[in-house]
Amino acid sequence: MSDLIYAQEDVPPPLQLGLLSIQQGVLLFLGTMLPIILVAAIGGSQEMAVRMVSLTMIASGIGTILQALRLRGFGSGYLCPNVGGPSYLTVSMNAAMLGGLPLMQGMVVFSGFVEMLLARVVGRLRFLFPPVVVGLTVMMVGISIIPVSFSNFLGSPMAGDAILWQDIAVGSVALLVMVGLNIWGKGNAKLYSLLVGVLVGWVLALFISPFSSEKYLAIAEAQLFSLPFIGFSQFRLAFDWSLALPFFVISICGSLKTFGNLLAAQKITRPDLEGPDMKPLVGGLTADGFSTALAGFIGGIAVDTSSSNVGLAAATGAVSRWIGVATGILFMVLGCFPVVAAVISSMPTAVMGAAMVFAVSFMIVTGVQEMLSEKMDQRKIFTAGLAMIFGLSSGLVPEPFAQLPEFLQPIFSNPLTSTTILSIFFYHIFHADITYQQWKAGREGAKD
Amino acid sequence: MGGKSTGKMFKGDTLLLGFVGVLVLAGGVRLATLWDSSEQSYPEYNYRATRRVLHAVERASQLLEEKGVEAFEAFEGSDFKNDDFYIYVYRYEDSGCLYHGGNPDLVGQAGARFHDLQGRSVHESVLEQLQNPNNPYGWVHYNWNRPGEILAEWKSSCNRDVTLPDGTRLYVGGGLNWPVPEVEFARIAVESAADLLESGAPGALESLRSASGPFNFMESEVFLLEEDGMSILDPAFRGLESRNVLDYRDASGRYPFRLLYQKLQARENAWVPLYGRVPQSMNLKEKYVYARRASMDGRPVVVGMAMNKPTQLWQK
Repeated sequence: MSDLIYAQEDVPPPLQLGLLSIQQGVLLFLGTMLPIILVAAIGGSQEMAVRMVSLTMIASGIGTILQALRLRGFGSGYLCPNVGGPSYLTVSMNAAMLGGLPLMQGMVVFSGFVEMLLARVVGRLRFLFPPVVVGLTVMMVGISIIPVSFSNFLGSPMAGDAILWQDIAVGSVALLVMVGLNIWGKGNAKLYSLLVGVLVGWVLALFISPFSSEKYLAIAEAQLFSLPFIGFSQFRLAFDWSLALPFFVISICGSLKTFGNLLAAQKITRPDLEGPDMKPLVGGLTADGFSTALAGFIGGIAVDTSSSNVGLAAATGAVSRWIGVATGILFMVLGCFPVVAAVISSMPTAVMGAAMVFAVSFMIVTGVQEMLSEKMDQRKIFTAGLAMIFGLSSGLVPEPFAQLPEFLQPIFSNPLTSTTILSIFFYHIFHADITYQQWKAGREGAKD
Repeated sequence: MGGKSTGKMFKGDTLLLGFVGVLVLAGGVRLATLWDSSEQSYPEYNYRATRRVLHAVERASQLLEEKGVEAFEAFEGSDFKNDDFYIYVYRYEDSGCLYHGGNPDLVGQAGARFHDLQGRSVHESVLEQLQNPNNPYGWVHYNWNRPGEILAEWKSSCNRDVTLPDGTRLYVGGGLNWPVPEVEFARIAVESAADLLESGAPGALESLRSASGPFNFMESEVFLLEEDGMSILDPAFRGLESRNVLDYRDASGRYPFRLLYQKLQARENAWVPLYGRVPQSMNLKEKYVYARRASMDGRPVVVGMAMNKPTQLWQK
């Protein structure tokens, strides 16, 4: 793990702070594509897409700031930026197609409140999360991003579509530069390894990839400044009970993912901690739920904490929460400058993929390190091993899980959820005798 | 570990700044030189392979108009022949094959002789679609086996009318090696079907029903519904006409055709999602249904088609 260059409470000098927040912001920009995908799917206009991108960026910015704060029971105080949540994309699309944007917004607000309620419950459940479970969850959060990272690395083709050697070359060179600078670079070269890699990949793409001026023309056509508010009708919300269950399930998945991200951020920021400190985690989950609800209320897509940004913080050793505040402010401001969004969105997808692969590497290994932070006895080995095997199977071999009773299917609907739940289950089953001994000893001690 | 940074420049930071500056300059210069050579983007198509073959056919037609048959040499390059697609050239008049990048054995043979598994004459289909205003790139779909392979699969090709310098009229096309479910194909089929019905041409309904027509491809077919939801050509079961689709749910439990009709009250055409089941999986398979209002024999009808929804690689 990278030595910390900027610890949690450090305030980097203004130039460094600006560059580090831009670097974090580059990764967050992937989430700005999601509103475009959603609006295209529902047949919305270009104007609607631009407005939704702006609103999502504003919600992401606010969420990132809230996460960095340490208000009473609200915010974790960690650098854990918010981004448009891909896990919400499909259900949001369905809601929008069913009942328009008011329904989508209303259901996202509902999800936000579910997440905030779940945060209250998680706070009392520290005993459920020993290091092996924590580490496995963090690792699985990273693994869950592999499909989108790798797909972007290949230039984000559609399933069954052509893969261009140019995209592989661009992604590979960008990634090599990022990794090389991170390993052998000193000072600023290491700190900005991602930004430099992005630039190298981008320029290379201009030389070897098929060129379409459409993306760059969009920069010329984009408005310089625009407040994405069209009136009070923007805040109309609707609700449909038939969508409550899918959104509830997605909220749980989102909460688990955020929990994993916050655990990783905590581990990176405070490596001295022996076990999870639940207070900031509960505060972080609450802030995350609030940000989701806020995103829905103002008309953006649901936002979520970003695993790759946590990985980036680990890679660079810049974990100051003030970088989070600066990133949040930057994103909020950029949300009102569509031309800047247009510039960033013209980044080649393979370069974005390289950035994600770079960042996610740290996320996965952070989880492994946490898992192995305690001596692995037979109980922990089987907790981790069995949970991974059966949890990952739900993604690798999904067919048998389709035959499960319906009430069990949401648990096995994605590997992150299934692995986390199974690891908690197996841990406490395999430690049942120890737990009983401890309880008995506690009772006898109390009697004395 | 940690500590506040003084902002001090490390050795090599100047080099890094210089490197970044060179990169930005090189990128800017390159962007400026590329600007005028930009490829058309074809935004209505989701798949890269589709956009590449469209671009290749466009380029091939320009070369043919400039150089005539001498352009065939250029068609051997990877821009025109690769794992994803190939180029072919046929004469309009007698369907004689002048060039075929996918199967050179076809050169010299009459394209009109070939019919696919559904009995579709590919040459006739191309000529028909080149006249179709709803189909600007002359897309045709046919069921064909690759040379030497036993099983057939759906193939799609785009086509363009070209006149050589010596006045010979022909068409150049690009055949995709892999079936790609572009939702634009559904739009073309639905608009064409609606125009056919509204023209009052005899046999219009039979043409929509025909397995070898342009309204039936890639396991999708045009459906036709009455104003009240009763099926004339059922969206799911051809033999099960005259059921009210508004009464039926999809695999997600929703009523897609009720949503469709709701949307069509406010507009001429609409897209709605429709979910089927993935065999042996708890996942649902999402399709798009594109439909529009039309009229047949003076009465209002709804024409539509369902296509598999294009999914990103990571969404599979």
